[in-house]
Amino acid sequence: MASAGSGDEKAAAAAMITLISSDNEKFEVTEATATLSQTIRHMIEDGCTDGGVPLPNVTSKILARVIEYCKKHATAAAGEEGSSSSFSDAAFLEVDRAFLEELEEFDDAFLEVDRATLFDLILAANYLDIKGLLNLTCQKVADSVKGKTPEQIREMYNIVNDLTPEEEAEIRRETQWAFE
Amino acid sequence: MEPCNKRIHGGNGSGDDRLSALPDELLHTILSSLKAQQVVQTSVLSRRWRSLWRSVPCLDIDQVDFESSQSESLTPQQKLDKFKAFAYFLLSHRDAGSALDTFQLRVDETDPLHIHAGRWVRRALSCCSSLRVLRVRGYGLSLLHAPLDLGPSLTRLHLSYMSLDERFQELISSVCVVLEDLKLKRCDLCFDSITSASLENLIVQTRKPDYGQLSITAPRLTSLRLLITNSSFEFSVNEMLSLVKASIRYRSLDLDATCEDTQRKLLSNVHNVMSLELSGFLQMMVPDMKPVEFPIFKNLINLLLDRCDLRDDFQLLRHFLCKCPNLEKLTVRCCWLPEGSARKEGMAKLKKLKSTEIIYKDYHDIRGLVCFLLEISDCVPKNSITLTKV
Repeated sequence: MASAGSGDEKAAAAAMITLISSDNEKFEVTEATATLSQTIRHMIEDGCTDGGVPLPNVTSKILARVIEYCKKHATAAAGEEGSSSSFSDAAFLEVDRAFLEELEEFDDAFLEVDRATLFDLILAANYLDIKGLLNLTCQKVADSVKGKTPEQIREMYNIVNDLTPEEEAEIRRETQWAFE
Repeated sequence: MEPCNKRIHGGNGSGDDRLSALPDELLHTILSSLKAQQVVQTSVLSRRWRSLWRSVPCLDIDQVDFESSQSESLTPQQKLDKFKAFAYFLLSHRDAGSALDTFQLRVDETDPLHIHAGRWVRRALSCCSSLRVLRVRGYGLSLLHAPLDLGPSLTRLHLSYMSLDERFQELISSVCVVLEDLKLKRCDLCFDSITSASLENLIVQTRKPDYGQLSITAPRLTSLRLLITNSSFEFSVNEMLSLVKASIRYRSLDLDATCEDTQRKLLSNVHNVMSLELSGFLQMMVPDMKPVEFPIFKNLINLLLDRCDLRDDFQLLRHFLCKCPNLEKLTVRCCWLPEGSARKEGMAKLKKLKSTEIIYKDYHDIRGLVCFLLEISDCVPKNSITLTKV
């Protein structure tokens, strides 16, 4: 899974960063890919990435997925210069539209994972500070509960209701506008 | 409950409550994508969730949720009261110290009962002065008359179907000093200028029966999008040196001679752009009229012409393209075309043109356009011409 970049020219090699997962697997990625993570960006700026960046909170399975996301979106950022990133309106220019559609398709496919992986991705995105990935994965969870009753949400996510019936009745009274 | 089947990371965790185990900050991110009513409903999930909603950074309140079937027995006045009570409750029961970051509010003022919604919106907004993002929209065609109290921390402001006056103009120029994104959709624009030193993205969509003028001064603007539904509405744009993208669309059947002048001036003042989209444009060339003077569009790489009138035998387009020496991609979509083949006239070739695309409908006679494109690119072997019928 780790991409071999050792035989490349010096210039390319200089821009490579080694990431080390919690189970000691090494992943070599370009600096452009790695710096989608603000956490890693800061480490690079501080010059402490020699010998690889240990990521004790991220397994190789999850790190491989995260890198897949970063590679795609780093290419995107390079092509796009990020100038329209704050413009949520996709119908801006024809070129952007095709481009955004492709990225959206990638994101949709990327999110086709089981729930445990989804939570692992959320935690990894949070730890590595990758805003796009964090928003994407959190949105997926939000979409899954949209329009569901509290009972349905409890069942979906194994949430144990530890409120006493009296407490629950009190909360419902306090927040009556939100129910009915 | 199923017995806990705990495996280290990556197990399917069928019995684990991974959601509640997330830190508050992440649960807030998730809650921020839900409508306010549902956010508050999560307070009964468990103890963990009881107070989370009180510090959620984004609130999205939609009046339509209060018109739904469950409250059918209520009178319109009761529904409105309920909606107001909910919004007040939300804003007044927040944890001290947890500032609201984003507020999205949709209000229906079509009902005569709701005529005072505007005042109420203003009061609601005065509770959240440290807001960064604000979206307010009315419903349908009626306008929301809500004087806004906008704080200095606002970076993004989207308003739809609202009536805005000089007070708004003042807020934008002197209060919202870090505002980056401004989107005005179908608002009644009762003021004549948008002046901002911080604005980077601007979208203005005019409202049908509007007459007026708006002059835009925003030196840091990188992206501009104007959707003009009435040619009587006159936009003027002061030169924007940092502009990267511009999209100017006319959606009007009554373009006339006065409009040509406005269009030309608009075009001249966006001459720095790299990407330009023009729609409903260039409906202006009277044969043998004196040539229009455009500045050089030295950065322009990507040009899209949509539903433009090119029936002047491409004269104006020809003239315009002469001013775009670095153009790489030209797209002509559903434009009005002259019949037959184009008159040949010498013109500078577009040396950097790589791709031209014609998007057309059945009834378009594109022969002339193809000839024209071949003519401007015939010594450029790299240019590929694509035809797409839609």
